[in-house]
Amino acid sequence: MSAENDKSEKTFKRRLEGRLRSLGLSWVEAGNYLKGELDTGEDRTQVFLVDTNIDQIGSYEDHDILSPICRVADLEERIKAVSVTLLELTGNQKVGHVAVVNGFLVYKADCRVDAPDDVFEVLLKTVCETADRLEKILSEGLDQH
Amino acid sequence: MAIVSDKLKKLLEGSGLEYQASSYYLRGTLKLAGGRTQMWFIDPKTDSVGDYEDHDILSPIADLGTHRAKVEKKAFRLLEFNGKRRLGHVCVMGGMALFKADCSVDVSPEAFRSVVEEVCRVADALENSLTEGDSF
Repeated sequence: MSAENDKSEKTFKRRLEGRLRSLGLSWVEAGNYLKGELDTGEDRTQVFLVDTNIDQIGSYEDHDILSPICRVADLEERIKAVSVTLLELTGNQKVGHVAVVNGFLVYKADCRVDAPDDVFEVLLKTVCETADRLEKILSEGLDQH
Repeated sequence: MAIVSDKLKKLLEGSGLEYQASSYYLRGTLKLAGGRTQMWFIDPKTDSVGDYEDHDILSPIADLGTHRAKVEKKAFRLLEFNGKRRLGHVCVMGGMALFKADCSVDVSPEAFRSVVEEVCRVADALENSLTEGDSF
């Protein structure tokens, strides 16, 4: 990694930390992610992970915001049975999509690197609320993530 | 006929993408390696989140009417694929498996074209792998 890239990634990470702070959220570092919890109402919470790595396609830059729905191994048969439905749900959503990441079913959205703060907030909340709703449906009410 | 915003028109003109407008979508085709082609669609309706506006860029993979069993068999793998993607994701809309990415209207024409090309390349590779055809 060049010194310039290293500097720009550190700057981006600090910007993300500032965004979480301004939303009154706390976080811990988990690898490349900033990990925290969001209150999703009705005594439920939802874990979020904000990727500090920038994805680049040509000159288009974004980063991932994701929230775990469940561990695949815990509900594997159920998830496989409804995979097409999850892809359909993804097609109907304005923001984000369902994916499997590191053994977890997650809800995930791409946020443009230069998106304004209010957009980051909307995306973070939408990702967490959608993941929580799917967790509730798939795990029959449990709130493990 | 689909109404196209000035911002989107400028992006399309600047990116050199040739397109036709239908009632709901803008549609074009890219030539890819190996003599293959791939259709793309852009929803001219803007999705807004706060001040952030983007458009859906879509490219078809498989018609579930013809290939439902193949898509069902691979659906979990497609969710895993979504987890590995840096841009865009597989979804199902209107009985069609598609690859879809959101692209802001506030990007350069070059960046916009990069996204359209990437969407087409990925959709074509998935179409080839799932259906062994080149219907789109």
